[in-house]
Amino acid sequence: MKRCVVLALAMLLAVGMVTGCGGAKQPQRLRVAALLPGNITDQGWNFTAYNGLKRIEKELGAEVTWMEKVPPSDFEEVYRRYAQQGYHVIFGHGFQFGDPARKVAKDFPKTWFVVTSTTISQAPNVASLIPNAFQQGMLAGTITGLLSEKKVVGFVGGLQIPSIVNFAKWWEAGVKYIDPNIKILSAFTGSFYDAAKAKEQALAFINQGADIVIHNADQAGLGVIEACKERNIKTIGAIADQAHLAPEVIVNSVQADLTLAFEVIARKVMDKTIEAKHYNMGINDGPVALSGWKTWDSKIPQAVKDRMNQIVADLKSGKLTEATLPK
Amino acid sequence: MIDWTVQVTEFLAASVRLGTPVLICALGLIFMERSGMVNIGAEGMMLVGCLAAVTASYLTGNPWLGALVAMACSGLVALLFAYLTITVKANQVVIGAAINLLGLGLTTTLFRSIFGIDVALPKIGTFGHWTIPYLVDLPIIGPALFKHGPLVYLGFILVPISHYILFQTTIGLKVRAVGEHPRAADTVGINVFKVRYATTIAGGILAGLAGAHLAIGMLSFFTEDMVAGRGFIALAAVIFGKWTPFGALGAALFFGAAEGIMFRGQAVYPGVPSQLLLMLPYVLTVAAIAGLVGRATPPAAAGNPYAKE
Repeated sequence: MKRCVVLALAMLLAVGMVTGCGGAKQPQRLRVAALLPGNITDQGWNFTAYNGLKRIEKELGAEVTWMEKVPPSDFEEVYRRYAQQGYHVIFGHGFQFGDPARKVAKDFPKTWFVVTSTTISQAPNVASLIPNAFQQGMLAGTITGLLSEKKVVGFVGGLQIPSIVNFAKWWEAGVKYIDPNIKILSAFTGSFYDAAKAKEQALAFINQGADIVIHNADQAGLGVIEACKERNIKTIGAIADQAHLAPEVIVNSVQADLTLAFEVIARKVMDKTIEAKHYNMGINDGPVALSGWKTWDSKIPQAVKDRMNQIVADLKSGKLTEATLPK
Repeated sequence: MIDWTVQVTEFLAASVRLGTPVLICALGLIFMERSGMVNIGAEGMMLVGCLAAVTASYLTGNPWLGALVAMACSGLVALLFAYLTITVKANQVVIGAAINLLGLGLTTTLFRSIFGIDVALPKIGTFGHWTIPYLVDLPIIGPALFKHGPLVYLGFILVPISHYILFQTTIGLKVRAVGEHPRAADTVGINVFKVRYATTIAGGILAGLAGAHLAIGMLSFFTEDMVAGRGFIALAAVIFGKWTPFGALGAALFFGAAEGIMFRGQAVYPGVPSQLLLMLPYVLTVAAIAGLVGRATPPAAAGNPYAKE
C-alpha cells in the first residue's frame, strides 16, 4: 500500500519535467521545429518565436513543435532528435544555437538549420536570420532622446549577449544622435528571468534622475515596466508590441518581431528557394518597426512625431546607416 | 548634482525590499533545520506561493487573500515534503531537489492553463505602501524603513516572535531537542514525527508568504521561474545567520544591501565591468561566511530521518 502511494507521488513529481510541446502527426506536411532559450510567455523574444511558429502552422498548414528553456548542454542532442525525426527546418532561437547547428548540420544534409540573432551560415544547409540591431537601437534611442526632459535616461539589459549588447550600443548612439549631452545610464542584470532584480535596477536609475527607462531583458523586462508604472516614468516596449502591458507608460514599442520572418523562411524552405546565407531583416522587411504612439498620440508633441517619421524614412531609404551615422 | 541623502535613503529602502523575501523564507527554514529538516526545496515552495498569490489575488482582488492562499498552497507542498521525508524516510536533499522541479513544472503548466499564453498580464490586487506616521519623518532612515508594503513589516515582526518561540518556549525547546538528538527527545516523550511535521509545514507556509511578497508585494505579476534563486539564498542566510532569527535578519539585509550596491554601482561607475558587480552579492556572501561569521555548526541531526526502534 505504502509502495503504491510512493509510486503515485513519484509520478506526480515527474509532472515537474513537463515542458511545452505542440503539433500533431501527419506525414507530407512541412514540419518545423524550434529550440527556444526561454519561456514562450515572456511577452518578448521567445513569445515572437512562438507566434512565428503558430503563424507557420496556420498559414502554411505546417506541423510545428518546439522546446522551451533548452539548456546549452542539450542543444546538440535536441537538434539531433528533431533532425532524426525528419523535421524539414529547425530554428535555433538565439546566437548561442549557432555552433551546435553547424556541427549537427553536417550529419543531416536534408534538414535546414536556421539560427536567429547571428550572422553565420554554412553550405549547404545552415542559414541565419537577424533582426537589424542598428535600426532597433536607433529607433529606441531617438525616441528616448526626444522624450527625455531631464536629459537623464536609462537602459536595463538582461544577459550580456550579442543581440542585447548591440541593441544597447546603438540605443546609446541613437540617444546621442538626438543630443550628445544626455546622460546615459546603462546596466545588465545578468538574468532574463529575475523581474524583481530588473525592477530594482530601473528604480535605481529613476532615483538618479532618469525620466525614461527602457529595457531589453525578455521576461525580466516586465519588472522595468512595473518600476516605470510605479514612478510614472516613460518607457518603450521591446521586441513585441507591449503597449497593452502598461498603456499609461509605454509610449511606443520598437518591434523586432520575427513572427513574419519565421513564415518567410518557412515558405522558402517549402519552395526550396532558401539559401545557406545570412538573412538580415530590417525595417524594409517588416520585423523591425515602431508599433505606433497609440494612446500617447495626443500627448506627444508634433515636432517629435515629425522627427521620428523622418528618422524612419531615413532608415528605410538607407540614408541613415551605421556608416553614415555622424561620429 | 546627485542628492546623496536621497541616494542613501533609496539604497537602504532597496536593501530592505530585496532582503525581505529572503528573510521570510529563511525564518521558516530555521524552524525546519532546528528540528532536523534540511529543505533544498524552498525555491519550489516559494514559486508555488508566487503563483497561488497572483491567482487568488486575481480572482478575489484582495491581496491578503492572495497571501493566505499562497501560504496554504506552499504549506500543502511542504506537507508532501514532510510525508516523503519523515514518514517514508526518503533522502531530504533528493526530495528537496524534486520539489524544486515540481514547483517549476507545476507553476509553469498551471500559469499557462489559467492565464493563457497570448493574453496581457492580468490586473491583480497588490499590496500598496504602508507609511508609518511620525517615524517616516525621521531623516534618511524614516523613508528607508517605514514606507514599505505590509508584508515587509510582517517579516520584521516575525523575527523577534520566531526568536521568542525558538529560545523561550517549550515548543522551541522541543524543536531544538528533536534537531540535536531525536532519540533523546523521543525517550522523554516528545513526538519527533509530530514536531518535524509541524516545523516543515510552518516552513512551507513562510516560504509561501515570501513568494506572495515577491509576486504581489514587490511586483504585480507572475512570471515563470521568477524566484530566481532566492530560495537558495535563504538557505545560505540560515547558515550565515547561524540558525538564529536575528542572524538570518542580518544575513538577509546584508544580501539585500549587496544587491542594492550592485544596482547603483552599474549606474555610477559605468566603466566597471558589469559581471564584476553582478558577482558582488555572491562574493560578499562567500567572504562573510568564510571570514566574518566563523564556524557555523548545524543542528546535529539535520538531514537525518528518524526511525523509532
